Amino acid sequence: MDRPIIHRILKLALFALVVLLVLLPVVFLLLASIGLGPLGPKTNITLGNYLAVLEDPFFASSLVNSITFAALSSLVATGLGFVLAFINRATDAPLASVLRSVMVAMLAMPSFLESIGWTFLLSPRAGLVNVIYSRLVGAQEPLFNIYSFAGLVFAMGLNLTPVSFFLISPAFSLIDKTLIEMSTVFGGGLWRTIYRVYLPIVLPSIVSAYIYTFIIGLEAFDTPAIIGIPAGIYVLTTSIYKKMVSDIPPDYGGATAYAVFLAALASVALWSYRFVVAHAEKYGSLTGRAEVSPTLRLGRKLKFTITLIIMTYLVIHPISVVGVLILASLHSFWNPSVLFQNITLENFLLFLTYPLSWVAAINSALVALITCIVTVIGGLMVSYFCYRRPFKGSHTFALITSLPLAVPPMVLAIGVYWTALFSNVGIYGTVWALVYAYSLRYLPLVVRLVVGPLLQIGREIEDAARIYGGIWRSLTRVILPLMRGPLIYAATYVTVIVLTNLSVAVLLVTKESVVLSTTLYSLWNTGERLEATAGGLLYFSVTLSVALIGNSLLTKSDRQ
Amino acid sequence: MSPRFSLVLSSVALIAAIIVAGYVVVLSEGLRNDVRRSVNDLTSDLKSVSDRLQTLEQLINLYARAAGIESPAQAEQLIKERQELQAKIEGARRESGTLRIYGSVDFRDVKSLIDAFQARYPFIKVTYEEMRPPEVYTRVTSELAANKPTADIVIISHTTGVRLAAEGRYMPYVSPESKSYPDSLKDKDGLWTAFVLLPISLVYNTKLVKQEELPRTLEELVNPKWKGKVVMHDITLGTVGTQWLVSLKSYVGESRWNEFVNGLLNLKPVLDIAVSAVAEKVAAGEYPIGIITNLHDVVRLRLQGAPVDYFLPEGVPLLTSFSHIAIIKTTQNPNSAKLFVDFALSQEGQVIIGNVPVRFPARPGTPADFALEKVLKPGIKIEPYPTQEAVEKARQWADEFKKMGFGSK
Repeated sequence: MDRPIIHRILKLALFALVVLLVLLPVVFLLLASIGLGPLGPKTNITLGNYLAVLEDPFFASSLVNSITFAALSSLVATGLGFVLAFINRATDAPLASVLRSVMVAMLAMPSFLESIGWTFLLSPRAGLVNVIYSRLVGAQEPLFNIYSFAGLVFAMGLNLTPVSFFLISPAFSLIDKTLIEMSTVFGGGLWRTIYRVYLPIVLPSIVSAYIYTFIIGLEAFDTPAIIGIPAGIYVLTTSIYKKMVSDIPPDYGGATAYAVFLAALASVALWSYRFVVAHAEKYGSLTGRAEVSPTLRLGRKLKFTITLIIMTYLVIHPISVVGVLILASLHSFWNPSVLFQNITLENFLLFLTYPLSWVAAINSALVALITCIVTVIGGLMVSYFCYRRPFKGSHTFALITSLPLAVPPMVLAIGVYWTALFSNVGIYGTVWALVYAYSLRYLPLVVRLVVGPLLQIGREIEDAARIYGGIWRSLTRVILPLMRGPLIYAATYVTVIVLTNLSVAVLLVTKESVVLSTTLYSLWNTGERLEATAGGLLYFSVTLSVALIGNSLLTKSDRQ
Repeated sequence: MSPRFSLVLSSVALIAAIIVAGYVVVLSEGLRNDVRRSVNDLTSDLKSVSDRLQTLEQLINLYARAAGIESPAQAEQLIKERQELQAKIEGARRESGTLRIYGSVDFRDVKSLIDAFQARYPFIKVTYEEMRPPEVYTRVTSELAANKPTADIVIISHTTGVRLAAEGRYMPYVSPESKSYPDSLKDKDGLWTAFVLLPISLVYNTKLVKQEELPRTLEELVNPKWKGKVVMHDITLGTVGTQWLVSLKSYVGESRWNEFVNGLLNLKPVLDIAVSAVAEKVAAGEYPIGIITNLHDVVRLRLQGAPVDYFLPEGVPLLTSFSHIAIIKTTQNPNSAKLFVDFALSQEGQVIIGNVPVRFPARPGTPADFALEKVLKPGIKIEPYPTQEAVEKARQWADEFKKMGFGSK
């Protein structure tokens, strides 16, 4: 294959541009961490920030907290995610098909909203469940205290479950029906079939889901802030936040030094992730024949048990959380011992009458849409060229593009902010700065979502297409049609998450502010929780419709 | 000459003299009457003139009183101000017609003020970008460093904004309205003036704590019976909580303060990073008592019917900080900015902001719904904070509190 040199140069230039775009914010942050940031008193190059972190006794405890918290929450999430994905994709239990829509809905819920929901339910003295429990039983001790390490892991684990569900679930459609039939023919029971057939094939997705949710857990801020801080449990992100809000001028150097340690930790996770996917290819079983995931036919007893499992999950997670949020948003203040005495629509009205311009709504939609397009196309390219057809240096390239995943969003926002401000290319103060920030942040996410299924496509199909029509044909004729599902997942997920993400927007939006999200953010910051709840629910209804549209597209594409 | 002739002559002369004298007398009498009459006329005229002068004087006094003018100098000042106002308006008309504000006060709360301003000066369009104080600081300093357009005006919590002032980011401007503000609420060089007050109080749940149980002193507050029942703003952050607690020292005395802090440590208060959340959580019944929260949140929750009220133990004043308003020195719209500052600080502007539930206007004596003196129970002492020490050593104290064990399990 003798490629014209111009192609190579173009490719190289494209990669160089991407690397530059990714590295600039990171470089700004690293410079700030050694005392060369664009703000504050100009000092000499110093390692003081790093030394201070190492001397800080709270650093060690928040590091340990971060790791334990992320590891346990992702364990909960992956375990539950696998079970639910299995029930949804591989069994014919009643209600199993509902699970998918429920997961879509919970994915569309902003995590701060979900955490607030948990505090309304399970706060020791003012949580609805605990208040009812102590009234019924007369106990002094609460049934379950959300403000504890277990509570934190519980909330975060459930919050991450939809993510792992969607990371694991596509793998089921790659299971060849004949394998299941064979297993049944040879007398394998359900457990044996799961163990011998499902697990090996789905395992790469499970591991990648585990690592991915572990990384999200490491960088999560909302849940550790709302549930962890009142419990006295600080993780790295909440410690960083403390650093950024408690000093004037904000201690970006110190915060970045903390973030570098966090990034190192996340990088280790990413490395192991790469190790997993590099070895994943051998598990691929998609031969271009089976397109619908095969279903196990369950006996009556099993059907009953599984339905019970589904119901338990539904009641504990979506129903109670959404229910209590709606209930609380209708009160002028939240106090479970005086329910229904101060019912009002004020919270919704206040949020809706917030000075809200069409420009803001359009901006929000625009940013979400463009980011979605950029990240999905970019993510597919990166996964294809780095994992599927690695070139020289592709490992480094993949690692660089995944760097932003390792930087906590609120720190990354500062880096992007400085890049947009000082690079002078005219994106400062426009929606493009936002698109830039979100694309950086979510491109690696799309790669995670796409690369697993991509590697499970049998290489021989693609090779066949390549031989006949080159790389373009292999992309359009094989990869795209087969990847339609995961790509729609990714597109929907990115759109929803961009709409719900609040912390990145604040610094970057100027003049024609994206009022919707910044409003929510400020309500949250000023502690007006009920209004933030009402606003969050309205927001949720928007993201939910986006998610449901994506989902219906997806089911359509599944049926084809 | 015969003596007879002389006699006759003298008699004639006498008679003539008498006649002349009589005539003169008669004449002078008439003259006198005339004079008297005219003097009388004059007096009455004078009287009416003086009467009119007096009325005029009264009228001028009345007008002056109505206008609040007490001296000629003041009148001149007023005329000067009016001319300056006119100059500002004309200047503003020649400017860009937009005004950018970065603010850490909720947009919802200042919106009515901005609307009223735009109605008064329809040729100025105001955009308000709401951020937290550290973000206002970062935006302004970064944009200045990169030579990019930045805000014309900031409305920012004083403790953060004072940094911007110290770094020379503000344009000095003594608004004519600022003379109604006490020295503690304005910069002596006119860099900033207080806009809304932010008093900090303690809060309790009226259902969980009976009136007679309510701690009346700091010593009663740290009674071990409250252990685990207290929520407090995070004093290890170096922000509001830290500054409040450190400022308290100068009002209650060092030894009493030390005892209080040690007692507080034994209570193992739960620390929350949001000041407002302290009031919300007490309202929800999660904690009976909250320390360090915004008075305006307590008043708002109370208005909404939540079972909360504020309290201050004996000897603890209502420590009050504020958000200030200031003009950024690089503004291209100095006249529009000055007009806005004048309006925000005027009685009219302060009434508008003071009628928003719940915002405390900074201008003393503002006849607004939420003027602090109207809301407060009698006998409460208002004192400014943070003190000098609290500003300078907030960071050290935050670390010190952390080392003492606040916030750790």
